[in-house]
Amino acid sequence: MARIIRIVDTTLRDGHQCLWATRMPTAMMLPAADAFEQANFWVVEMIGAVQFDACMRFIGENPWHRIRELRRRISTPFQVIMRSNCALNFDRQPVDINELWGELLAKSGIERVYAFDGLHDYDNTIPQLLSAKAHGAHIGHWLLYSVSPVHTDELYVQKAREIIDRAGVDELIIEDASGVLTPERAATLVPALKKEIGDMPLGLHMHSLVGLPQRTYLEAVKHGVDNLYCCVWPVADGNAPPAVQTTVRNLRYAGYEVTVNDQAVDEISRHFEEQAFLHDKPIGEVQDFDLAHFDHQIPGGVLSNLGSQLREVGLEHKLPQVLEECGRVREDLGWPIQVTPFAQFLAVQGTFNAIHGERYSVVPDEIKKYALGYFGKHLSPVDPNVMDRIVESGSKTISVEIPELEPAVDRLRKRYPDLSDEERFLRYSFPEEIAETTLANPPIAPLPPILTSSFVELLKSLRNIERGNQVFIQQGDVEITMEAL
Amino acid sequence: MSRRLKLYDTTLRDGHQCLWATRMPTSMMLPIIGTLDRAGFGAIELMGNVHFDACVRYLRDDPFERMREVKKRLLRTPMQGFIRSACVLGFDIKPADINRLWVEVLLRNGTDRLLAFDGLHDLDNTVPYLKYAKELGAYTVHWLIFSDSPVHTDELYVAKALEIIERADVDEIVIQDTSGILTPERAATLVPALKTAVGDRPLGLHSHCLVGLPHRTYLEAAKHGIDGLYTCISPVADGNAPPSLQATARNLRYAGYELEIDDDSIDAISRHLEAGVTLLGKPVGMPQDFDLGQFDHQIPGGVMSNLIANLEQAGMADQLPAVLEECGRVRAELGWPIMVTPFSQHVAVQAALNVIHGERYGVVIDEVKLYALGYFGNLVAPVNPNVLDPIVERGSKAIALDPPEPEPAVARLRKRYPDMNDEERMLRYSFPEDIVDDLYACPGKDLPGTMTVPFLHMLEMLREGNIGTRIAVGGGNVDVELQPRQAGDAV
Repeated sequence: MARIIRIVDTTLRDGHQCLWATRMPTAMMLPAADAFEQANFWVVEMIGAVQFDACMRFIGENPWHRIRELRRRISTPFQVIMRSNCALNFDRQPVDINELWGELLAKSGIERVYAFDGLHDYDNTIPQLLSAKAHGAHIGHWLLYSVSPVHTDELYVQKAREIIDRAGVDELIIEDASGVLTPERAATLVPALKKEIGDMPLGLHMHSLVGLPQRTYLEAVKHGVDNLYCCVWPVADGNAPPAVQTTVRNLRYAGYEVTVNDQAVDEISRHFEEQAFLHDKPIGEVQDFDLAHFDHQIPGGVLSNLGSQLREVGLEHKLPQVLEECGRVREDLGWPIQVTPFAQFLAVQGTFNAIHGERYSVVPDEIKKYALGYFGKHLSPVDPNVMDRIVESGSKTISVEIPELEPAVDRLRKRYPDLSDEERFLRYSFPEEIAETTLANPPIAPLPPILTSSFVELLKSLRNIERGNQVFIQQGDVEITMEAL
Repeated sequence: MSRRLKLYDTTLRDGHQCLWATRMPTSMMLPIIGTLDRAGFGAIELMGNVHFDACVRYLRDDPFERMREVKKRLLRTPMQGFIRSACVLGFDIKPADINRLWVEVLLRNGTDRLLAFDGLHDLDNTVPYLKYAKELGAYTVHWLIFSDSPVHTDELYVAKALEIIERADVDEIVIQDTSGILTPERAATLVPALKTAVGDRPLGLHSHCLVGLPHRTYLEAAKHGIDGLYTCISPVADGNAPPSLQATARNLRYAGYELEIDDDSIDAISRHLEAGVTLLGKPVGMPQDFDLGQFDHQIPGGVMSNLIANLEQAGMADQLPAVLEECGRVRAELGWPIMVTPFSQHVAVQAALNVIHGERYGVVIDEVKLYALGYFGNLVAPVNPNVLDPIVERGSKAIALDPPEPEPAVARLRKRYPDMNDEERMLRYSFPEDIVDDLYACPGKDLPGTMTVPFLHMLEMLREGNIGTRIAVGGGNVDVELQPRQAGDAV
C-alpha cells in the first residue's frame, strides 16, 4: 500500500508573506474558505506574528477577527507560528507576556501552536510553548535550517533531542527559510533526525528561492519526512514555498498517496488568480538555481525589501556588494540563521558596511544587542575583533550587562481594566494611535468575487481569461452573452 | 589555481529550435555574429537538420547562404554543425555516397566542427561520415545521447565512448541530454567514468531546462572534470531550451571557475535578441520546475509542444496525461530508444494512436515498423516480443522484413540536375521540387543587419527604448534619423 504524505497549506500565512508583503486581507481569504474546507489539507497554517503586524498596521483589521472568521468556515486544523521570545515585536519581551501570547493563541481556536528561534536558544521559545500546551494546544517546534560550518546534522539531532526533552513537543519541522536544503543534504539530515525522534511526525517547509524544493521534497519523503508545506499557486513559488499543485503531481507520480482534493485546489487557485489580477499582485514564478544565494542566505521577503530600499536611495547598483558583505557579516556574527529578526539585522549591518566603506563604523542597536546576547546564546561566538568594534561603535545606552525584564501582564490588565486579554495584547504590542484606528474599523466582510465586481473590471478580466471564451450573465429576465471575437 | 571552462553557444541552433520552432531568420542573426565571435565561446553552433527544413520551408532563407554569411563574420570562433545518423535531412537511412556528399557540402560552406549523433548509438550510422569529415580536415565531435533507462548505464556510455574513439578517432565527445534529465547525482558518476574513458580528449555537456536541472548538474559536472558546457543567451534560453549563459556563467564564476566570456558582448547580444522577441512576438524562455513525469516519457520540449497542439486540434487535449503515460510504456516496449529525433516523434505518435484507438498497436505507423525491423540501425535492447508481433503484422505490408541496402544516388542526382551546384542538388534531393523552386525564386534578401519591421511598430519600439537609442535609414539621397526626444528638446 502506498505511503500517505500529508500536505500543510501555508498560502494564508507564508504565501502572501513571501509574495505580497503579507498584505492579503481577510476579506480576500473568505471567498475561498469553502474551497479550503473541501481541499482536505492536513493542516492550514493561517497566521503568525507578521500577519498580526500587517493586519494592525497596513490592512487595518483586527487579527483576532481573522482567526474567528476563518475558524467559522474552515474545520481543518489551524496552525500558528510564534517568533522567539518577541511575541509581536522584534525585541525580547518579558516571560509573562510570552506566556500570555501562547495562552491567547491556544484559546483563539487554533489547534496547533508552533515556535521557532533563529539562534536555537530554546529558553526563548519553551515558556510560551508550554503555556499553549497547558491551554490545550498541540505544540510543535521548527528546526531552522542553514548551510554553515556550525549547522551540522549532529547539531540538528542534538537540538531535536533538547526540544523533545524540554518541551515534550508533538511534532518537529525542518524549516528552510532560505530555500537552500539540497536533495543531497536531505538524504543525510532526514534519516539522522528520524533516527533520533522515532515515531514523532517530521515535516519539511521550504521556499522556492533557488528552485530546489521539488527534488528535495521527494528525497526527504523517501527518507521519512511525513508532511510537506506548500502554497496554492499563484500564491506559491518565487520567494514563497512550492506550489501544492506541482508537489502533489510529483508525489503521486513517485507512488505516494496524497489525499488533497484537486478540484478544491483548482478553485482556490482560480480565486487567487482573479484576485491577483484585480489587485495587481505579483504571482509566483519558478526560480533558477543561484549559487551566490548560499553565501548570504537572505530570505525572499527581506531580499525584496533590501532591493527596494537601496533603490530608494539610488544605490541599487551596490546590491551585489551588499549581498557579499551580508555573507561576511553572517560569518562574523557566528552564523545566526537568516530568519526574522536576524535576517533584517544582518541586511542592515551589511548595507552600512558596504556603503560606509569602513566595516562596523556604524552599528545599529539591534546588532549590538545581538552581539551582547540580548536575543539569546550564540551557537558560535562573535568574531572577537568584530565584537570590539561593535561594542565601541554601538549605542552607549545599551548596557553590556543584559537587564532583567520586568513582568508586564499585571500592569497591562490594570491599565486596561475593561478590555479582553486579546485586545490588551494588541494595545501592548502596537503604538496607541495604530491600535485606536485599527480597532475602530468596522468588522470584516468578504471581498466580492470577480463576477460581482464592476462591469469595467469584468470586461478587463474577460480579456485575459483563457479558459472558455463565453460569459453568460442572467438577472431576472435580462440575459447578456459576451464572447471573444 | 582555478580551473578554466569553455562555454559553447547554441543560441542560433538549439535556442530558437526549442523556443521559436526554429524560426529565427538569418537577418536576425547576422548583426550579432561579430559580437558573438568576440564573446569568448569555444564554438558557435549554427546548423542542425531542422534548420535546413525551417529555412527552406518556412523562412525562405537559403540555408547555405546563412552558413557562409555567418562563417564570413567569424574571425576566431569555430562554427559547428551536425549530421543526424546517416539520414542527411530525412528520417530514413540514406545511401553512403549521399551522406559523403552531404559532409562535403557542410564543410565547404563553413562548418569547422562537425558533430554526429545517432539515437540508437549504432555507430555504423555515423562513424564512416565522421571519419570522412576528419579526412577533409574537420574537427569531429560525437554526441553521447543521454537517457534514463535500464539499458543506458554508465558502463554502456563508457563502452560507446571507447568504441567511438577507436573507430572514428574523434576530437571530442559531448554528453547530449535532449530530455534535460541528467541529475547532479548521475553526473557525479557518469562524468568521471567518461573522463577516464576519453583521456585527453575534451568532454562536453549539453543539457536542457525542461525540468529545471541544468545549473546544479553543470556545477556537479564541472566538479568532476567536464571541459565544455553548452548554453544559450537569454532571452532565447531556459524553458525547453538549454540553460541561460548568463545564469550559468554567474554560477560557475561563483564556484571559482574561470571563463573567457566577455559580459559586455553578451549584454549587447541579449539586447538584440530581446528586440527580436518583441519584433517577432516570440516567447521568452523561463526557468522550469521539476517534474518527475518527464523521467518516464522523456519527451523533448519541441515534440511535447507539437503533441499538445495535435491533441488540441483533434479535441483530445484531456487525453494528454494518458498519452504521456503510454509514451513511457511504448518506450520500454521498443527497447528504450533515446527520445531524440526521429524516435521521440515515432514514440509519441504511436502512443497517441494506442490511446485514441483503445487497442494498443491496433494501428501501427510505418516508422515504428521500420524501427522494429532495424531499418534505422541496431537496437540497444530488443523490442518486447509481445509487441513485435502486432507491429510486424499490422504495420504496412509494403515494408520488407529485411532492410534493403540503399542504392548509390549521387550519380543519378547529378545527371538529373546537370546545371546546379551540389548544395542545390542536396536541397532538391531532400525537399519537394516546388518548395526548392520557391526558395530560389524568392527575391534576394538584403541580408546584412536588416529586419523587415512595420514602420509603426519600429516607432513604438523606439519610444519604449527597446531597440537602442537611434535609428538611421538611408536610401538614394534621403537620410532619415530617428531618436527619442531629449529633455529640453523643442516639442
